[in-house]
Amino acid sequence: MALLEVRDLTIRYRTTAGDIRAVDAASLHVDAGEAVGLAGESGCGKTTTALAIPGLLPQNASIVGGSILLDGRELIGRSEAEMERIRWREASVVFQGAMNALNPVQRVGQQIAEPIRLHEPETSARQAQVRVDELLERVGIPASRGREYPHEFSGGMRQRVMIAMALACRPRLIIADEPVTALDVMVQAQILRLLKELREQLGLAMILISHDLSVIAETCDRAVVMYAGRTAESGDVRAIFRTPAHPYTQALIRAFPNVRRERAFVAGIPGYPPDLTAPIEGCAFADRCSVALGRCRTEIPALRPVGAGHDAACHLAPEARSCDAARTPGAPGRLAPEGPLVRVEDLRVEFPVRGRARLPDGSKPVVHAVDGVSFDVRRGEVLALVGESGCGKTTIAKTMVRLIDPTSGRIEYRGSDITRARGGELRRLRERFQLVFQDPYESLDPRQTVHEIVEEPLLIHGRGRDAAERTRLVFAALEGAGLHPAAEIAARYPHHLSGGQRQRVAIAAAMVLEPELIVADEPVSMLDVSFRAEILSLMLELRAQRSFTYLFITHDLSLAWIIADRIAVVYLGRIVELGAADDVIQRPRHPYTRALVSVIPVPEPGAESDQIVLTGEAPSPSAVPAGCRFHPRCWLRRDLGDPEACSTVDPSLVPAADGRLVACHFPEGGTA
Amino acid sequence: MRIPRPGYLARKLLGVAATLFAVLTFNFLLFRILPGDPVRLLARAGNLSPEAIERLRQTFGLDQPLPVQYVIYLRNLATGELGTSLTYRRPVAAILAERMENTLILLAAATVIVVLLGVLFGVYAAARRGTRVDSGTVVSSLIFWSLPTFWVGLIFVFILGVYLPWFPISGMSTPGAHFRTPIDAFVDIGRHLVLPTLTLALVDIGQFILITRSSLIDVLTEDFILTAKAKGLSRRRVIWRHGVPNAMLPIVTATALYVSLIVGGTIQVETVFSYPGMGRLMYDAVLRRDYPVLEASFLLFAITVIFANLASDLLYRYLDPRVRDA
Repeated sequence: MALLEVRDLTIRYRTTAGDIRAVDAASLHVDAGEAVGLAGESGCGKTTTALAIPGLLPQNASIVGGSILLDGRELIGRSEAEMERIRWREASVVFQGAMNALNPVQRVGQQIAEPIRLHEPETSARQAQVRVDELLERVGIPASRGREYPHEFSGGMRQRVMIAMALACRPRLIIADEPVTALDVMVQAQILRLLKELREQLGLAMILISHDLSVIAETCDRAVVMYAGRTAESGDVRAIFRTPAHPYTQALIRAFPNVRRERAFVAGIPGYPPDLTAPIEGCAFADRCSVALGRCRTEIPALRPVGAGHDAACHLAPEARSCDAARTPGAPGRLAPEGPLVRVEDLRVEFPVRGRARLPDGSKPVVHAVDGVSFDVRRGEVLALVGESGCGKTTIAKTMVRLIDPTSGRIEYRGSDITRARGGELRRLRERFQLVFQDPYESLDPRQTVHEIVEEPLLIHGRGRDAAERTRLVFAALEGAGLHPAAEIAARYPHHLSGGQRQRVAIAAAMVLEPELIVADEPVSMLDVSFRAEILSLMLELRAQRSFTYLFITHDLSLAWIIADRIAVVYLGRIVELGAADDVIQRPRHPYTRALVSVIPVPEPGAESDQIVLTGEAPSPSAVPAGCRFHPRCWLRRDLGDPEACSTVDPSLVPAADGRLVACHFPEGGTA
Repeated sequence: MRIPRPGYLARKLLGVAATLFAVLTFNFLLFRILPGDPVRLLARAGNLSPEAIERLRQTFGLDQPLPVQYVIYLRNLATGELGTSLTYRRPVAAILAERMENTLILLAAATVIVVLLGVLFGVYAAARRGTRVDSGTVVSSLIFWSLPTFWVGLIFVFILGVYLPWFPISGMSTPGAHFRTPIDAFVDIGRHLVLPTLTLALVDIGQFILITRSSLIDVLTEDFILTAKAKGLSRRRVIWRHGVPNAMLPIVTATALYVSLIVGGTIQVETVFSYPGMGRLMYDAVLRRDYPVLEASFLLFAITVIFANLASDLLYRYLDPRVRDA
């Protein structure tokens, strides 16, 4: 018998804009000890479905139909007091711990002990403390850190605390809601590995909610794909990823890059998800589906078997094959890059450490945010700076465009030194360099209309003779960024636009001055995958039309791979590897790059066998290790029997045999 | 709680000392540039000869150049010498001591009521956000907040003092009364305190309710509240264990501000109820241009505000571990 059986669950949210049918007859089941992935984009109802199980929906939500059986007992309709006894003891939740899921003013040990004391009142304070210490050790945190507060932990460590807390009452089911979102790829691999080990040791069943199909492919036994509140497809992960039956699943898988395959540009899904306040006739995906028939728009497809233990809600399954045309080899609009546009030489940026801490020799500690970086950005190329958060990639980019003053080093633009440019010269540079930021919700002023946002750079730099001329330029930029009709969009405020449209507005504002270089800092990381591809191809199209050069900053190596010509891998303020995108991703040489690439999740089950998971996290840039800065975490050094050079000599970025730049004493070494 | 590093406390106290010095200096200059010559005021009353006026100037040290006056002023302050009141002909320090005690009793009673009940009602309203109880609490808080203090005082005098003569309406104790036991005396003072305290509390509780409510409503949307609920905690425990401790910071700030804003309130209340406290003293001193008393009162209030802020800074560190490590 299934541990959990959710059948035809229907949930409505009451909002001022009308009732939203967030979950519409969704079904899923979880067997004891099984991991089930709940996949889909934002608003598909995956979190609502999962949080309905322990009765954690917000007040404006109501369950209007269906059943939730946990261990054979119906949970819907139980009183709050009964649900309180079931919560955590039988089903606990791992929230996104990197966010604010831990109480900031309580010690973490106390927070882990709280449910133990609540559900097992016979436990003494001392016994609870022993359990807390065990739990912390089990998730890889020294027990002594239980006395610390959440802010004293890194994002990955907070996630471990969250997991320890979820295990506190030995539940049989864990609901993990985006447990690795917003974590760096290496930390993500560590957490996923921990979850896997714990599940095997404790025989836990798990529901893993993720927008990232690759994470589900790697961690789960079965997957359920949701769209517009309905179950689109469910089945064994191998079946879902190898022979996806629903056109939505097929399109979603294509939206993720797969670094284990040939490089191919990702395809977006045209259109937008349906409005859930109105009843949907027929298949919810019909409007965005490339193979939809007339019947798809009138008749709701039932979830029916398409293979062994594999169901899909599609009239055409299992024959439906949405067209593959969008998946063109290589990114569109590639140009042959010319000579260097900007060149950076031995760039260093140091920040003083706040507070009155002193090093043993009495000097004030400094953060070496950028610690001797040299590279050039070639005219017309896309150069990606990749690395984990805090590695210095954003500081490098901001310093290069003179938003941060370097401590030392040299920056050249078209052959002339701009390291100390100021006044009018700096203002002219600002016109040539533009920025696009990560969060289109925060980078746009909510009180300005789209027109004002895009016009502002023109006003600042005195472009456009009069208002009419400027309006023409604004409309041209909006059209260029794919916002039609420009006049209508220009009159709106940012909150009237979708995330993808907002990022297009940010791009329009960046290109209205016709700059040469656009620095894009994680421009798509806040967007749903089906919109990512559109923004990326827009950026590449604009490059082809207007010969832009891009400096693309991202923590996501697979994104860098599909959009960039060259990739520079940054570790602790230094570039450790720089080369053609394909070389760096498919044949990485630096042991750090090799580890990073090995843990990139791919939408392909069973591909995670040869991962190199580094332990710990990158050290602080105020305490850079001697010798090679990567040596304390280097697996290759251990394989090679700890050569002395690694811990004594700082390797410089030099060409390896194939001409790529690698900062490692053994760039050919350990070809395991 | 971790004990703050000694460096932190030392830095804070140094800051307090600097602020205090600035306030002292400002206070000194303020009373030297104010229009209205106190000696002339005295002289007009007594019809004195120019020689006598000159003698008076010498007595009060007003014939000295400013820098010398300043040094004398600092030296006197350091020894607790605040001068002599021009109206009461008594040392200012002695007057302030007894008046301050009376005001502190009133303030303490009002502050405890305002903060405790304000937080309680605020939490109650936030926990029932959007219900009639909540909107009723918000509306009445706004109404109370906007009532003029002296008017509320007068209404209380009419209703609870005159129409229903339950409580005395003026002074701090029954004049000329002799009590058999100290407890009787205590009860008498308590009865006199009821109306002024109620007046202050009613007018000021609204802002505490509203601040607590909005702060807690913000906190209740945080992710860790959902975590607490998911653990199986009852709603009451979620609110009191996880919500309220995180909502305390704005309340602490408000309390510190309240101590500074209450000066205006005490002046009105003490005047309406003829309560022999600092507010009444200042009010009279302004009318009579009793500069030594005014000067010392200003200083006392300034010091109160400075220390209220210091207390709130230290409390912040206790309440929020993130502030401690910043």
